[in-house]
Amino acid sequence: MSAIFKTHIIPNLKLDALEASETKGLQQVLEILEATDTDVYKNIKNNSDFSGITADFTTQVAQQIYFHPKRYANTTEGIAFVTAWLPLLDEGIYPDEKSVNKLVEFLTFNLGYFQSEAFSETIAQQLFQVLKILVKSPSEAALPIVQFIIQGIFDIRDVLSSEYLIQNCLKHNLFSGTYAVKQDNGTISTFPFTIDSNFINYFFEGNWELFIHKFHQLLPVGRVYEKSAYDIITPWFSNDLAAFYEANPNSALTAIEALKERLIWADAQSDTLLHLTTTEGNYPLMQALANKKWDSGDVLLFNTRDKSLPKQQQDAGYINFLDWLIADGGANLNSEAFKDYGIKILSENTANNLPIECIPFWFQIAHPQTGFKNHSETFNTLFSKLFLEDDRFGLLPTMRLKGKDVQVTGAFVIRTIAQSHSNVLLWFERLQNEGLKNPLNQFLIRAFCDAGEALLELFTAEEQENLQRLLLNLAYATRDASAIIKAKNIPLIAETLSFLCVESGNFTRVNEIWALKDLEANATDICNQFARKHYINENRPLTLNTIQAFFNYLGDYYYSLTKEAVWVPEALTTQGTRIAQYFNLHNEDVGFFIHRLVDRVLSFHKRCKSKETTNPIFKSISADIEVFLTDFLGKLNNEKLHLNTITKLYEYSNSDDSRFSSNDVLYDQIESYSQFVLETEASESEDTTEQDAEDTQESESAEEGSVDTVSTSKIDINAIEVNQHYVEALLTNIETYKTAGCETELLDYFNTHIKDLKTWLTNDKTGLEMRFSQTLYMTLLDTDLAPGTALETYGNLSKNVFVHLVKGSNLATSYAMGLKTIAKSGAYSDPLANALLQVADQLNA
Amino acid sequence: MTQDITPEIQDQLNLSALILKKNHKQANLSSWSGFNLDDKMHVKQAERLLTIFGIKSGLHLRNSLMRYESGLMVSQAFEKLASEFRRDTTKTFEAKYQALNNLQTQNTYKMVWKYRFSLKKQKLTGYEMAMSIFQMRLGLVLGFITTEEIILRLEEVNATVKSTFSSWGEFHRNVCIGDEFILGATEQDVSTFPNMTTLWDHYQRLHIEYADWFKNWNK
Repeated sequence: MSAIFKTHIIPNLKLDALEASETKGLQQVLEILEATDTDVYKNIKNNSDFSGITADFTTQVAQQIYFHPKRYANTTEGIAFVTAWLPLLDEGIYPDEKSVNKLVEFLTFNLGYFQSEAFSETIAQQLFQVLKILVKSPSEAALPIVQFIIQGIFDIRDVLSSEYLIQNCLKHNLFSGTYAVKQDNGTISTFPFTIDSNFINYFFEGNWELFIHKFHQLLPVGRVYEKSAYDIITPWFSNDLAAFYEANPNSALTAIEALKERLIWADAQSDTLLHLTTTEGNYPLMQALANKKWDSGDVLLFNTRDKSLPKQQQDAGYINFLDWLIADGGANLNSEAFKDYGIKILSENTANNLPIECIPFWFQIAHPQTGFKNHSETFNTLFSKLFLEDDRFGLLPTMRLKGKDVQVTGAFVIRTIAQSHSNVLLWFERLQNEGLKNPLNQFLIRAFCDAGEALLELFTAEEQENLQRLLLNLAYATRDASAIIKAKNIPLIAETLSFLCVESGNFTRVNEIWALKDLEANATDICNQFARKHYINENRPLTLNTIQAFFNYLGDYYYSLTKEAVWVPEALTTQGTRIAQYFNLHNEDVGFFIHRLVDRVLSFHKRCKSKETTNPIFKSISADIEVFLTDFLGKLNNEKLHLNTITKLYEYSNSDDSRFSSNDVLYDQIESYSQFVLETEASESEDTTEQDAEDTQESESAEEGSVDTVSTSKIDINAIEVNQHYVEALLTNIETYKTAGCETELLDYFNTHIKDLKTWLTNDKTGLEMRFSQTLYMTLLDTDLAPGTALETYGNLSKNVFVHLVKGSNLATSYAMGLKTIAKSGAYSDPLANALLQVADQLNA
Repeated sequence: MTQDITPEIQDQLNLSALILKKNHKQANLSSWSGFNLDDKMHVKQAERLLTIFGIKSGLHLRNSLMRYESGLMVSQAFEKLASEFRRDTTKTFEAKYQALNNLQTQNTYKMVWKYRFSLKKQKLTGYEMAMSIFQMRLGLVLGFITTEEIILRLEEVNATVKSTFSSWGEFHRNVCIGDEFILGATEQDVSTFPNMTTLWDHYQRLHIEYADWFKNWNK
């Protein structure tokens, strides 16, 4: 039993006014206090019979025990008195409101003393134990104590006391559960510690503004690196608080200011408050941060955000950050806020969290023309890490745009940049001087490559041309760039150029792009594919230039032992027939060209054969050449060959060098020319001048023609059917009607059986179809067959057959276009021009 | 892989000796490229020369060789002018010559006029072949071409040269004329560049220093 109770309280207990139940309660109190040897106890014990009576701890009993203001007159005694309550409190016997208020008075008065050295740790321990029990007690005693402590904490006028209370609250964990409040009807309700309307009512006079004001004042206060009021209040944050901030944006702004002060002065983060959410899932404080114009403090604050925060909540922050960076002519770039904190926002991040605005920002800030010289290096490093060194995405990352994840495309990048520059290419050019080591260039190359075919729409033809030049310069200026940069970028440049360089015929450009392979081994495949696409493109009409290129590069292929011009074997093995058909349709005399071609091919064949034993490569080259010759000569019309070409072929074929004899098809093909050779030799013996040789050739072809052609005069109209014989007869007639006369009936027959003819030609493998349409095409342009002439019928029939044959084929549009051009050229009379236009319309219909 | 230089290959490489010496005085004529690959200054010099020729890669090199070997580079231009002059009389040529107001073109005209008949067959093939071998050797410095390829190409070039000319003297003369045709008259001009030696200078020096190389015209 404590001395205080023994000397001052128990002897003064007044039993007279007490009910039996109250007396019984008092008896229990005395038992708990181990005061069974006192007079009072004995008195109660002896004089009372408590059978059937329940103990009742009324206010009166409580006041008998707890309400002794005189004891508080002396601080030490007061403390001893309060700590002596412990055994009773443990048993659930709590003071009444009046006693507690007195206690609060005592505590308030002695707060200063508690902080002094005279107040021992042990006693403090006991005192706070008492307070803790009172706070938790489901009694009217709880509220006054809680009010006292909370007011003490929030009263920063006496910052020492506030701090003292805060530290002890934390130490003794005073506010862990709920607090109890006595309602007007006398019942006790309990409330959890959370910031809601009850909390505000009981502790801040029902005034939210008051609470917010005090709260914000309290936030930055506290010792550095130690726990503070924030740690007590954190568990109390509630949706209601969030809702208040949402409804009062100004309060949210002052909260942000308070958080910044807390960050700066106390060096403490406040993510929980910053990330406060309403029941609807809104973030009022992040919202406030997003909507304001930033200063350095905001950057610091944003840097403390939790990285797991939903991306929507961070988007605006990043954009504000970028705005802050370029504000005031970049003054902020020199601030500590940027160097120590802001930089982390970018460096400790990935591209997919950042807004797409980063891209134009980067270009603006690091471009040699518009950027800030001293800082471009910093940003280039930051953004290369984000955009170039991250291998989690392909060419370009996904980024944030208008609250969504968006895949960045090359087209987007180019368009964005183009918007802010009147002359984009000039701007590129400026950048290009920096060379490939500048990350902006590397990023641009990725963008171009990603844009692919869209480049053709993004830039005008002239710009495309400039762009190709820029890219090539960039690539060829990389000789000294690091190997990694080259390995990554040269293939991309090559790929971009293969999108850009689609126009046929510019082989200087093609070669320049193709040659990129020598800069970087990684690009070899792309470049070779690109060259192949240009040199061997079945979709494009052949030209003499292309054919010449094939055979020029045969030299490179041979000399480099197949390491260069790697598409040459493909050209040799697949293009023979096509080249022959091209020459067959070529109206001008191409004999000289063919002669040089054959000469070159044979000379390489000869070299290969002579070196065959030294390297198997030569054997494969000569084999490819033989495939070409077989295809080519097999399809080429004999009359296209000049006599000296035939002689050359014949002599080479029969020489020991060629060993064509092992290649039956080719050998036989050339042998079949023997007739010519014999003729030539015969005529040469008669007359050896060159002039005559040419005459001979003419008579030669004429003679050969008569062998091949079907003499039309023998045609029996009734016997006509769609077969090789009559189809060729028809073709011959269409080719020779001017001299041989028009076989209108033959043409008419095929006109009526046009479907059969078309099917037959489709199945024909000898290329007659092509010849047919070309020959018919010529008849269209013949003024002798024009409407209104004697041969009009023949002309109309051939027109009809032409339309049927060509329509729907892949040549239809070219023919139609050709016809339109010719019709509009003014070279023809109106009736014929109209007829041609009509045919064109029919083809297009 | 670098192949050994056999006497035969040396003889073929020598076709470019004159041009090589003119462009690179320190050239070692008995090596593949003539340049010392370990000496940065040598490599730099080769790079510069290649840049002057517009050769940025192996492909550029091969296209250039192709043009030299087919006569597109020099002979065609020469022949065009020469065939025109062959039909001219002294008078008509004089008129044409006087009508020019460009000194360099006048010199070219004078030169072509002089050789319009004597070089009708040979044209400037000798110069072109020498240039093509010289470019191969340059390409070797930057790895645009391998010695194996050079051997194959040399064989062809050698066959062309040896069948077109009948002696080293005739060949070298053609090289000098070609050089003058392309670069203009190269009389020594102390005012612009002291110590600059002309191709003729190199020609004389070469025939003194390497007399043995240029005695026999090995077909």
